[in-house]
Amino acid sequence: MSAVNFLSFETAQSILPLLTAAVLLPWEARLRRLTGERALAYEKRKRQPAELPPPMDNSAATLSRLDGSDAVVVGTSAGRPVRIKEEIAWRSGLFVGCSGAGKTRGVVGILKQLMHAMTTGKPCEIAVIDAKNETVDLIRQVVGGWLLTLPDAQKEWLRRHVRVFMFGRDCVTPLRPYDNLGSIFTDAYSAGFRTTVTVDAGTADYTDGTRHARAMFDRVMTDLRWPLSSPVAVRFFTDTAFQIFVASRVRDGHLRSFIQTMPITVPKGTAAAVCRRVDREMSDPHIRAAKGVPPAALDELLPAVEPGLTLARVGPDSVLTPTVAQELCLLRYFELLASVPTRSPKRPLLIVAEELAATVAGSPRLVLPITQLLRMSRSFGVALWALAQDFENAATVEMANAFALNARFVVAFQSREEAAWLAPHIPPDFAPGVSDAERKRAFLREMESLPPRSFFLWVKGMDLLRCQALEVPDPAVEFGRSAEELTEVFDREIGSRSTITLEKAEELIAAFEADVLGKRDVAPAPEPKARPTFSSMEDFLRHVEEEEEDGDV
Amino acid sequence: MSDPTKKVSSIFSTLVLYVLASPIFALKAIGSFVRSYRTATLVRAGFLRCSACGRGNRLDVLVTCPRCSFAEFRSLALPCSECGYVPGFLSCTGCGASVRLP
Repeated sequence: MSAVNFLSFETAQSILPLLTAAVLLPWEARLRRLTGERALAYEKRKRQPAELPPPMDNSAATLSRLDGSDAVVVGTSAGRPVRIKEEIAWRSGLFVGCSGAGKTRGVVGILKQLMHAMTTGKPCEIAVIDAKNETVDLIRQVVGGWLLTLPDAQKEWLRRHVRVFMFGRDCVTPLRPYDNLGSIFTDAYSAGFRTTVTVDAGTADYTDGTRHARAMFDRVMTDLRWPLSSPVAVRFFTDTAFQIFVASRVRDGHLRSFIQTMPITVPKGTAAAVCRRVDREMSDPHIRAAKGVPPAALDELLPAVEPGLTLARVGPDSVLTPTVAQELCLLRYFELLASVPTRSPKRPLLIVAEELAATVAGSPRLVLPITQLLRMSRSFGVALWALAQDFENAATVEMANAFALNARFVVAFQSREEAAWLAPHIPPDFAPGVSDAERKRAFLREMESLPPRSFFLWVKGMDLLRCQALEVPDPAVEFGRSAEELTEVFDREIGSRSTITLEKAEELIAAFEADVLGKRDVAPAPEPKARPTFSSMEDFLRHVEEEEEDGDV
Repeated sequence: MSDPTKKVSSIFSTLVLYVLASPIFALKAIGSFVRSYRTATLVRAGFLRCSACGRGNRLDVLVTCPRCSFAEFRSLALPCSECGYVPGFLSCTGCGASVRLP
């Protein structure tokens, strides 16, 4: 190549970059090598679990902050008892964890202490609603054992203050489906709610017309304070003379008008459909015994139970179908919520709700009252402990947020789903010195690998505590009797005060039907006492909010 | 014009062009040097701070070239070894805003 060509502009255009590259390339190669090594080391580090620095040992300080007056022991932490003072324990809380992790035993261990305190005179109440039966069955055995071993005064307290909702093989707890006497809600609202629960929880389809006819029938029965009865339903919808008789007894003018115009407004097909559904509902002898006994007869038959411990065994079993169990569960929640405004904060109520999220998922109407209850629980002295296996997925967004905001403490047993839900609420000192993502991963790993009976206790405003649940001995071992014997003692001494036998129920039902359908001789419903009544849950909640603002509660 | 005269005039004109173009070359070289220096500083530091949220974004990672999919352990600010592609910006891992690369 000649010098001229070498020096040509075009050549210069290509040579200069080459010269530049010749200078820069070694420098770039060195940078590549350096950054490549750094990148490789970083990626390797990312794939390995972070070595957590040893956690700060704040447990002693946390334990002393948790302890206080009337404390209950909820477990142990590094061998030291974890005592939670009353002002924390008697606030709403969440117990989460997968099946078999130790929730039920853990809660029963705490409840034993609270129940024992009640038997010695502590003014408070506990209501357990168990959609799985496991918790209530365990408590029945414990109480049965106490009835054999405790001093007489405490035994007498148990007999007078413990009540049970259950369906046994030969006996049931009467439900009083249309007994609205003493309720804060109007007859119309109570009957409407009951209709909704029956329709939502049941398997029968209800058209618009059928639902309306059933709702009006329920309102009439509530007005009269009569029980549910298939023959009465048939006569009500078909016999004009009986309709006139009923119209003469109801207090509500609107109901009287409805009854008078029924032959026109309720087609025969609709009436027949309602009668079929009532008949199907009452065809089960247990359901008939539970719903068919007139409240007036029950007032005389069953002794009045003073408030104390109420156990609702409302899970499906060999006697209760899932549909009926769901209905009973929802009605029990409704009764408890309706009693809240009449409560005094000086006598706190603890509601222990097993599988609350799953139950409420079946009836969205309960979401609003329960979330409001959580928000106002301190004002009324009501605490709600919710036990859940799969809270995040089963609970609605509103309920999950309500618990996240209002629960005073969370007890988390081994789980996976709840770990992800709780991770944003874990305080930064859980694993200090690492990033948020690594802290969350570390917590998830620990939650998933928790052994049975181990749990994390997080009381808001305090450090997370890794704890071991109380050792709750098998009642059979503790009291030296078999589980069946202990349950039998409970059923004999306490269950009998809350239940009636199927035979007795049939007798009372037959007498009622003979009086109503035959002699037309039945006592009128007592006049309700004058007290504020609410026509809807929203109305009631608005009233409560106003009272809270005025500071009257 | 004879051949030797032609050659001399060609060389002379090329030299004149070089002299005239030399300021441009110089400016280009300075610009290239400044860019290279900034890139090298950034590459040595190993992270790029986002002006929006202040978070430091790591540059030394396993990079997959968006143009040719060649994956290698290097700094995001360096060009791809395979196709020479250099990204103009990266997304901040903290706030998602785009952060320019020099």
